[in-house]
Amino acid sequence: MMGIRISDLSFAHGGRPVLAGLRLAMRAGERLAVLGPSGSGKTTLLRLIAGLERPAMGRIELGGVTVSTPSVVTPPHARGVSMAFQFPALWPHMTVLANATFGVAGVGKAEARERAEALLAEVGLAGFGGRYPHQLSGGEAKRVALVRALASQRAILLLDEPLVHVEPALRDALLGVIRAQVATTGATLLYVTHDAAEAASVVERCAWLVDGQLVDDAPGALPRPG
Amino acid sequence: MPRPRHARLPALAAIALLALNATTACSSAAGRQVVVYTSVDQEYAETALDRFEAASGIDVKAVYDVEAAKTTGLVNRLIAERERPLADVWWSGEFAQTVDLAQRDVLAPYASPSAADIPASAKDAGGLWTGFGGRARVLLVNTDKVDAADRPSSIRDLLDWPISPDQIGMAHPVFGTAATHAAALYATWGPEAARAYYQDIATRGVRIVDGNAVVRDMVASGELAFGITDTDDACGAVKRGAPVALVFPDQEADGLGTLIVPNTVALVEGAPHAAEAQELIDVLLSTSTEQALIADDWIQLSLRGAPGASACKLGAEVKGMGVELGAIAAQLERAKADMGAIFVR
Amino acid sequence: MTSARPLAAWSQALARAAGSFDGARAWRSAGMAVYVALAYGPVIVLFGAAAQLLVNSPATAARLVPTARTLPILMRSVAFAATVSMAAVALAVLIVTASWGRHGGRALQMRWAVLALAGVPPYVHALAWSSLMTLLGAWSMGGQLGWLGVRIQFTGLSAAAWVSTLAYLPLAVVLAMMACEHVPRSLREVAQLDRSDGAVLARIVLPLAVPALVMAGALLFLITILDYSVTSLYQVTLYALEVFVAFSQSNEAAAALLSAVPLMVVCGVVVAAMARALPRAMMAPDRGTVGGGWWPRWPVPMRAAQALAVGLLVAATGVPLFSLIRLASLSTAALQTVVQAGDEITYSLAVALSAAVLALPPALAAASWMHARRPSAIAWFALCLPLAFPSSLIGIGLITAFNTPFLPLHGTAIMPVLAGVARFAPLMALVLFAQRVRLDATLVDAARVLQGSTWHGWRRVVLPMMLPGVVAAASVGFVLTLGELGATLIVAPPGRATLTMRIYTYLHFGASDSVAVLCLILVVVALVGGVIAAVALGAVAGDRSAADARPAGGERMVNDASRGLAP
Repeated sequence: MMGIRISDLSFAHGGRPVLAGLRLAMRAGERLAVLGPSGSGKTTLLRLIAGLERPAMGRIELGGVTVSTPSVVTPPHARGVSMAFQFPALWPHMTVLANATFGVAGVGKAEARERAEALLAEVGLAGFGGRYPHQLSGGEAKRVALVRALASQRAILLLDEPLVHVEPALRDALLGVIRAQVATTGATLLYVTHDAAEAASVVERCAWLVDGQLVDDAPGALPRPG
Repeated sequence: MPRPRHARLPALAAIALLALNATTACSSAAGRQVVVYTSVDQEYAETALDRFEAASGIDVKAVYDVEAAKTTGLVNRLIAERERPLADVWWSGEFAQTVDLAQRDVLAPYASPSAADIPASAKDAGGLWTGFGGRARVLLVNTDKVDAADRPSSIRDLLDWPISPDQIGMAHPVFGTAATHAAALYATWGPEAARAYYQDIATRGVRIVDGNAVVRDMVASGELAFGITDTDDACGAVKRGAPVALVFPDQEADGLGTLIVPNTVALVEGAPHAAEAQELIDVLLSTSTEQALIADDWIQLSLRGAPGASACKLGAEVKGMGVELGAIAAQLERAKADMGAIFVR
Repeated sequence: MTSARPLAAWSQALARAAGSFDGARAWRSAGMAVYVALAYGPVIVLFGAAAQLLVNSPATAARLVPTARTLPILMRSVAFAATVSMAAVALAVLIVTASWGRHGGRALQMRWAVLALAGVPPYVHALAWSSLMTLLGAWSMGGQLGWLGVRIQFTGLSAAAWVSTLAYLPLAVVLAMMACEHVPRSLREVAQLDRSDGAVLARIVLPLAVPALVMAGALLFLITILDYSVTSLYQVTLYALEVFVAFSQSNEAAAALLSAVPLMVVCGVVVAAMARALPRAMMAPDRGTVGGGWWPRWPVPMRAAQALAVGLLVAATGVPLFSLIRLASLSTAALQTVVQAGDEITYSLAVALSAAVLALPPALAAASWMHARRPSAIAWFALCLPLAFPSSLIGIGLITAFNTPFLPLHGTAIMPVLAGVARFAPLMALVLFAQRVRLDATLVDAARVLQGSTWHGWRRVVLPMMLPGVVAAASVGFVLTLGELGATLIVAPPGRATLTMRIYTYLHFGASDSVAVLCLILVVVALVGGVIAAVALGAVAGDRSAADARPAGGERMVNDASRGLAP
């Protein structure tokens, strides 16, 4: 289990500031939703935590260890972070099962397979293990991407709008899967979404990205949970 | 679950690579060997070297030149290897590059007993190289296009022969024996007159082609009425039954004479197999080898005065240009520079 | 305890360093170092010699600047190479678009076999056209088509351009396939709702393919401007010949290198311009245009142009094959020729395959390194500088570098392999870079997060996705090394020769029937390589079935400048 601490984080794209002195403190195992309008930098925040971007200023600590500063960035795979991207990003040359088990480490192949197949079944994709990404619908691909992130059981879980393109009838079930997995593993969860109600069902608290900073109170135009 | 098929490809490629390399692995012979770099046409050099190999039991490893490299590659390879030579013997189809190599300290002195009867004018004063045999720069004429009575007889005919200039050809005078020919004219006529000659050739529009072999082929096929080439190329066309005839240019009593280009042989400085190299040089310079090369039509003339039995049936003595090889070599750099300026544009 | 504090501090520093150790960067840097050593080693040695020459003889600096005589030659070379490359790319695009929608599955993938024809050396094309003209009763390389009662001169720039364009057309087709067939289907389908197929091609597909087509044209430009083998046959002087003349005149490699500088500058400018044109917008290739259910109906003028282009490809294939087969059939000792050349054939295969394989890791590293750093034009210039070097100078540089007590490789069978690597690793790096650029960044990011180690992610995700480019790059390296002469001649070990060397030997001797037999072998070998490449590419495509399936979930245009921004 690892907490997240972010200090004075700044990042810009093409000269346009995206994050400006952002601060965040999450204890190990805490569950936080990040909301905000399009272009506010939610995905950027996740990418910085994952180590896919280098901050212009500030510091990111995971489990008390500094992993990102402007001069030093620990490689993503060495951070204990798992992530489901906004778009599924399934590897086209690998089957669904191969995609799902890719991030599983520390267990045998059989156990990894069992874990992934169980999760696939929970998300309604039992028997899909042998298919390839191009044989899936958009919603199915999103579910596989979610399984891939959950199966690795890493200390920090980053979910970037995981239920987009998923049919409404399945959303509650998937939220249940997420809740169960997080409760089992004790992972620290950072959940990005537009849907405050959706967020409220899995997280303990919400924060809004406004003007490059995280605020606890929702600005007037943004939804509150419940 | 089967692995993707393409995942096997890297392994297959590695196996194929290892198999191929295994089949081409060269296990060097435990016995004696000699390495010879030669600009002589492989067809002829190989025969002579095979004979030596069979008779001596010494394994001969040869590096041949190709027309496209026009000897430049091989000479520069020797120069580059100067500090740690691979070659033992240098056998050239001409002499100018050999003189250059000698001046660059690439060659070592060796006085072969086989060369005792070769005139001193065909040997380096310091014993760094020895000339033998001879090819000549000749006019090759297509007999279907040019009657016997109307054949050109001088290199000056390239300037004023009454046919279209695109029916006359010569190899690029920046390279090989064509360059040596230019240097010989520089040495004989003087640089200004020689340069003017070639400038007139360029102005007239004589076809400059990629080598003596191309001249041969184009005359033989009728694309050219006549051209300047070497006797080995010319005799090759004769032997293949092409409608061609050779003319040794400028043979009149007061004529310029024909450029005769001897082969040269030399021992490489620092040769890894010096003893074997000397054996090979002795054989290459022997009368029997000279006669065999004449019979094979690589060379057509003997510097020793022995007529030889050329299948090209040249027969009669040829009047040479009467200019020292060293004097020709001394003009080579300037001649090449001028030829480049005139023809490379 | 005071002594424990520094120890603890060191331990923590080491742990931080280990934690922040980026294996990917380390491997890229190591691979780039190997690339620099192999591709630049010979060059650096020669530059050192040239620098010394400049110091000892300042007058030689005049070689760095084209003279009144050589400047027109340089300009002519640029114009010639530009004409050939643009014509080849234009024809290739017509050919590729003509092939869409006509065949499915394996037949479509077998189009890659045209890569095999790229292995036929340009001089073979020149000789084949010469032979054809002779057969037509004309004279080649300066002849006139009297047989038809028309006096046309097949000589000079036009003849050289014709032959060169057709000689490089197969390679251009392969490059155009790679360029045009990685445009996302969804982007094309959206446009199809509003526009005709021709308009979709002109306004959607081609603009998205332009950067890769620019790269294809640049590659062909470089190959054309550096090869004087065809043009010299048609009495056309290119600057590359001028460099060779300088080499021949002086027997000084360093002086020849100085003469080559203007040519290298031109090539560097082309490469730098190409680098700036490379796409900042990376397309996520869920499905290619071909096999995606597009059966375009082209306008009539375009169909006519496509027919002409396909006809030229047939001619580019048929004329050399016809001439070679005809000449080979005249041979009375074809089998003997093949037997005699057995050693050369085997050795050539081994050298070409070894060079292609050996060059791949450093070329991959160079491509990854360049992709990671968004290099400047100067960096591109430096990367591709070896492309501008005359082959014979590379050979001399290799001898100088590897004929030392510390690296005594000269004289061994590996030297021609190193020559192939030195000459063609930069080309392979460019092909791999083009492939790397087109990889979906999100797919790579997902691997970076979830991989167990850098090697794990590279082996299971990045490399498989780059496999088409890897195979293409290896195939390019294989066929070009097979036909390489200039550097190989310099470094071939005593007693060894390649097939190309033997072909040139026979060319000189005038044994055109033997030349034809050996050239046919060269073509067959190249065809085998092309079939292997086609099967490999087909295997990759087969894993992503060409069936008319539903689109994969999620695709987006990832703008490199805006990565990470939420839409």
